[in-house]
Amino acid sequence: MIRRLVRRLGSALLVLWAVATLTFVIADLLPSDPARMIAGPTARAADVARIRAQIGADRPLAVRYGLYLRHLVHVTEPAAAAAANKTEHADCASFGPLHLDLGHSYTQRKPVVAVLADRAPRSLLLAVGAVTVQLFVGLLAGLLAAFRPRSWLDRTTIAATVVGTSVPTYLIGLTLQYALGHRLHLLPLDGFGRTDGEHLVSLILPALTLGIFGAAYYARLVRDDLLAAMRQDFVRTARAKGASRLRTLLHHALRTTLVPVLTVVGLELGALVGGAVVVETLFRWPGIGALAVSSLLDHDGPLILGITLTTSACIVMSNLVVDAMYVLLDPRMRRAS
Amino acid sequence: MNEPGITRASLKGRPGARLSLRILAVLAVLALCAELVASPLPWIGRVDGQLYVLPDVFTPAALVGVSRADLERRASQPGGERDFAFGPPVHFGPYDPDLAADGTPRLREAPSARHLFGTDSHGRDVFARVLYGTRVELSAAVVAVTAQLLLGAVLGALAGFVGGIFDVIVTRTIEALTAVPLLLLLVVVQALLTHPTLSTLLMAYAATRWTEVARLVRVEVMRVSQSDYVLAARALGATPLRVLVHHIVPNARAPLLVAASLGVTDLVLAEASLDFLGVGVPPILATWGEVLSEARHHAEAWWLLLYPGLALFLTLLLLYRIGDAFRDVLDPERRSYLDEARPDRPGT
Repeated sequence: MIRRLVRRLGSALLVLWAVATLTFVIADLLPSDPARMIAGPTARAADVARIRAQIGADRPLAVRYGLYLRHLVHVTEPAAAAAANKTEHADCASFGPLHLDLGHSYTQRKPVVAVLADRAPRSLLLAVGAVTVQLFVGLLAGLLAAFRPRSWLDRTTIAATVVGTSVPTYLIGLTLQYALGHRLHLLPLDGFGRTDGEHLVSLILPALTLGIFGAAYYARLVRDDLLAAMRQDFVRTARAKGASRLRTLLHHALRTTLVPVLTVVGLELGALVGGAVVVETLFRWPGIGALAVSSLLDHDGPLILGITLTTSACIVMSNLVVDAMYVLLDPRMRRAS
Repeated sequence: MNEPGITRASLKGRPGARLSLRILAVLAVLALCAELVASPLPWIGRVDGQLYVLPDVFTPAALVGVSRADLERRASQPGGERDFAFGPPVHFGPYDPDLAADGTPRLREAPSARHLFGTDSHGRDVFARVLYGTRVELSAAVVAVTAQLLLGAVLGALAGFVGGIFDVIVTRTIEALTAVPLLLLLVVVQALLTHPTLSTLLMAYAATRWTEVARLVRVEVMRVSQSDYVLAARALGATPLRVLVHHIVPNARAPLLVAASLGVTDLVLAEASLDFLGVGVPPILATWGEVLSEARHHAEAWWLLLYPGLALFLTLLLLYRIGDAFRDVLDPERRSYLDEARPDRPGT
């Protein structure tokens, strides 16, 4: 089992390296002059040339790629870093001896790692909110539907899941924004708010928007899995021994559905952290997704690189975690490996 | 020996799927003939004494950029007594703003008898924009998915058939490309081109999403390669090429069809999201996402949200139904469908 996990880790690292290379190539193709962007629009040509030499933008492609990889992740002794040139490690995020350097953002004039560290918790908050909505609504709806199959509740739930999984997320967002924000004035239209309370209130609409699709999906998944489990022999035995329908549903059948649901939760969390581009833009939520669009329109190469890399890293890591979790939760997988 | 595919009979027990296909066919026809339904130029008419037939098709120079109001004005002038215009039900196209009597455009007017779905922020008729938007969405889907299928099928089949180091390279590339969310990738590509158009968007989609098709095809090819009739054919001396063409390709049709249906829905969703963000096609083109992006800034203009939203929702509903039906027929146990959960579906 350990060997299998180690192999997966190695494969994940390889994927991360490939993504880093891909994003480097893309950022290199951007039609903009990084030296000009750093210097500013009113700088003289001599200054621009000087900065270009300084950041190494005039070196050949292979050299730049090598420098980029070397800066990305490097290990330095803490004492040596303090003694060495401070500016060399100015853009690094340091975890002990391990340094992570994603470059310097042109438009925000800060290290990319600082910008991302600023924004990531908000995207995480949104992701957690969305997954909470999905789990609660989805599980509850699926349970209720499976409790009384073919009742009107069941049929309504199925119809709702069909609708919920076909509507694009931002359409749901626009509709909710119009209904709850514009018409009924219950919730703020967009934005993040200033206090913690305002943060939570502003979280409701985007989290609901992102959550409805997932809730519909989970409801259907849970309902189908529960009904399939209820037909199994072990449930019939429990019923024969006198357990009520409700108890067999909750105590026996629900466990079989938890593993697939949890794996999807893990994958969703990973994908939502950087990938909720449209919803974050729609609700002006200051997360990583909204930053992606603006940094692209501003041709901010290092920031784009950083965002793409971070997003992919989150997805890869969540895949890894979900894989490991699956092996831990499902004893059959443990024996198989 | 071929396994059964989709036939009319197999869809017989699924009235939902057949209805969806029929509605989709109607939409496709509407998209093709959008000018016959909504256009400032008539089907047949006389302007300044000159008779024109189907000017939208033949585009005579004298009628370029002319609006219906212009035609009516010319008819009311002396010399235009015998002028007439027998025209489409809707007198507005998607590109020209409707001007009021004093020359100002009718911005964001609510739905009325004049404009069935209202007007947008530039004074353009929303019904026409939604109708012409159908054309963009459907044609984009067809083109992109064809490219995606070709690329993915070739690479997947080769990977499954040839195996070895080629297979390893392809699989690793698939993993790397899948790690980046589709929307992010498309936004990156569109934003770094100086002239992003619909074609660049579609090419970018095909170049990055061939991975899903390749995955399915590769699994199917590997499975079929081990089956008895293929081994028998090889034993009888069939060349690998003949085996590929005669045995493997016909059986790989099933996952291709499933992947195609999924690809179309993904693309419609992704393209609409990109238009909404403003980095898709140039905003002059009429697409649903573009009208929806205007709805975002003018919440009181509910018609900018309702009509394109309904169109988008209905189209996706149809496509999902058809895709589900395909999957039910071709792959009831979902055995070759690897990423059911799809947390990174475009449009989030």
